[in-house]
Amino acid sequence: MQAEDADQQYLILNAARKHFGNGGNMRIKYTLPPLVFAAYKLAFKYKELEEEDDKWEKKCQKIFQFCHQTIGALIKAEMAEVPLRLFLQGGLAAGEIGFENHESVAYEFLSQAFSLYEDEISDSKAQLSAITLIIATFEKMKCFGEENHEPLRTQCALAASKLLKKPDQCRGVATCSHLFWSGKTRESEGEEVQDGKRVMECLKKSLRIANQCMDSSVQVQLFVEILNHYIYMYEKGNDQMTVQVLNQLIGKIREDLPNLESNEETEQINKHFQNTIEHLRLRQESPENDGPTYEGLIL
Amino acid sequence: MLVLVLGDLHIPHRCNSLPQKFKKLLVPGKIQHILCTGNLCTKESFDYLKTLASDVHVVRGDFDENLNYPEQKVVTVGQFRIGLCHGHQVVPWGDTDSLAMIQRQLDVDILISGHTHKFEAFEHESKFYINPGSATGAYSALDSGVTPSFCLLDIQQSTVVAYVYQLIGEEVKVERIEYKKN
Repeated sequence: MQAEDADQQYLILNAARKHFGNGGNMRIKYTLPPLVFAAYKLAFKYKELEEEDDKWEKKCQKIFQFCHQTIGALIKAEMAEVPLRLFLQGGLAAGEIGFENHESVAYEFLSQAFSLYEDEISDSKAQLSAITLIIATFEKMKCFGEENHEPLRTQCALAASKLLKKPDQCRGVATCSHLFWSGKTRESEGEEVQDGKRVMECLKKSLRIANQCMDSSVQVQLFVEILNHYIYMYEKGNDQMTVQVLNQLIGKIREDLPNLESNEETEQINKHFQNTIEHLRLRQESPENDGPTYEGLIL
Repeated sequence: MLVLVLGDLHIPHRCNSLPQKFKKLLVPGKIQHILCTGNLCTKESFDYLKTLASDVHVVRGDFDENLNYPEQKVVTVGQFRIGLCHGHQVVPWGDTDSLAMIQRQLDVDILISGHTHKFEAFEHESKFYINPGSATGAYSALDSGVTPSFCLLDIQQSTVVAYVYQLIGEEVKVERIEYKKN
């Protein structure tokens, strides 16, 4: 179902929507999502035609309204996971296309994704997947002014810290640290925000949560993962991340690892730690041109 | 040993099928293993892959219907430990250093990931990273120029030769990248 002309394509999508909308809850699961993606594709096409069509921005606006309504129909049919993902995709698309009013549209789509997350996703595994996806998607969006970026960042961090299981909380909060580093706002004009202090707050909180885990094997596993996050930020040039902080965590892991029971899981954690140390050793011996020196690192 | 690496088909959400020219190349019986980065998204595509080879491994993409696919998988082929992960869980998406974190965790020689719909094959700190791109050239919000692509790995002893097949215009172009385990 593809027309050559963009306006014709919009009419086709509309007609298809009316037709499919009558298909009942079982069918719309399959028929509506492809329509939403076709609509996103069409919005990009209008952007390409911006020189020729001075109404392109209003048309994009209409398309996103069409998508909002179509995703709404899926929610009425008691779906949650797919609509959440469709809203996230819509937010991304709106941000990339940049038509007039795109920031409000992108914000609305992300808020809708959040609402679905809070109200409809109850399984803890599904929650971790969903919040990680929201964080990952948001990290890529650069269309928000600080005024909109800040509440969304906070929402992400809050949601991560409220996950039920401690290991999930730990991982979710650690993932949020990226929002404060490589996240971009309208004000930063394509440059990364690089808020070193807030990154450290996230990672320190993640470590505190790991310390609360009762399963010692899981705890050490989380420590090694956090160490890798530390290294990531250190190598990206976060000056709040010091060799001292790295040494402290490395020391803690060295202390705790031998106390774990000998089994396959421990072997994996050990390998993970060894690979991490090996990476540090390599970087210490031959530092990257514009990278940190690792002076004072105790391996 | 031949390993087919592909993913991000997004059938039927974003595409109807694999390009005809790819289908013609993918003949049953020649491939020993299939490693799929995910986002099939339905059983139909999985069943199709099973007709090409019996050993099919799939990891969960963000739009896969089957929620039981694992988040990550490690498969040993010959001398190589190969890690498989869709990549939508890796923040930031497509970031080499973040992917390296997964490589260290899974302790693999080769890490295969997808999600970006952009083909990649490179060495980083003596390990091999492959992204087969999208086999159908599916829509991606962050990339307006997605080329359909997939990879075929020829694993012999301690060498892997990766052949990447890309559909550029009407023609299938093939490139060859070699990786040696040290």
